Amino acid sequence: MKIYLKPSALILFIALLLLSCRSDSQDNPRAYVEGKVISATVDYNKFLLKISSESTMVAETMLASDGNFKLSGPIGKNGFDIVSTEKIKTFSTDKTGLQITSDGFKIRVPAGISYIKFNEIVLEK
Amino acid sequence: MRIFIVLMLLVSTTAYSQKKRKGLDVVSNIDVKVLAMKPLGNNSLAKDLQPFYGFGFGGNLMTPINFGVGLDYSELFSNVKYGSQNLYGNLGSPRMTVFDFFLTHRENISEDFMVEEMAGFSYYRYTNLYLDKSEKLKDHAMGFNLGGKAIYTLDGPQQVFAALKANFYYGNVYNENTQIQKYYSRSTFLSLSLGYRYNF
Repeated sequence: MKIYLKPSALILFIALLLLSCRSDSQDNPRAYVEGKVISATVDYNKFLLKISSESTMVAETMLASDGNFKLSGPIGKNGFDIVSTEKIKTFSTDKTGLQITSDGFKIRVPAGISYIKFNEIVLEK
Repeated sequence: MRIFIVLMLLVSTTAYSQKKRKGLDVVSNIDVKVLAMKPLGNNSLAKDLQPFYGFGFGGNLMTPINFGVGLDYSELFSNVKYGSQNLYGNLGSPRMTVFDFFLTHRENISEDFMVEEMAGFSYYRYTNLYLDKSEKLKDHAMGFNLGGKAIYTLDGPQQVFAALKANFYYGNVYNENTQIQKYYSRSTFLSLSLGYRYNF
């Protein structure tokens, strides 16, 4: 009987340990951005779209031939930037609070948003 | 960090209990192995990465009624699949460290040949290198494992084995879209290992 007691106690012990670890483990936020880029003249083979968080490039992608893209990378707690290699004129999405920076190359995404689906991102060129 | 303290506690507890039960003839063994591990399903670990390969160490304490406890430690390495970089991020050198704590049961098929079944909890440490800075992205995950092991006795204390194991992985990547969160947090691994075991 004693032999059976030991493994069950051990299981309980490990179960408690797992529960305790779950509570103090920190979430790893990850951004996921998808949508379509629209441009009249930009060469999609040279165009790059990136995610920048805490001054680190955490993801980058080229566009599909129809301008569609999917992009994902790990981010910090303070929001992130979507960085373009060409100037952005406008964009449209159902999320609010996103802003084009003054130089026109970035879309600033505030903290709390981690999933964005763009209907379109229109480039100046 | 806490898990390592408890891990040490666990090891010392099992070691202590072995001493106390010397009359019951608890036997122990240690092993070393090579592993191949394939994540399955529709998730990032399965779709964006190549299969993992690595090595591991383990130990068992076995009672005379053929029930025992075991601990496996494995280091596994992979690469990002070509064409999946946009979904995986600017990350490289994925490395998975797996700790499996399990209960095990042994069945002696013949004098030289035996089979063991295992079931238990797993703890995963998953790290990636940022391509853009010399820092690691660290992630932890919990889960459980089920497995089977076929063991062949070479001579006396020496044995070789092949093990098949399923690991269930529950990570803590956050995304406000639950589908995306699931894609990056959950997975199931199937692993095959070949190893050498020494009994004492």
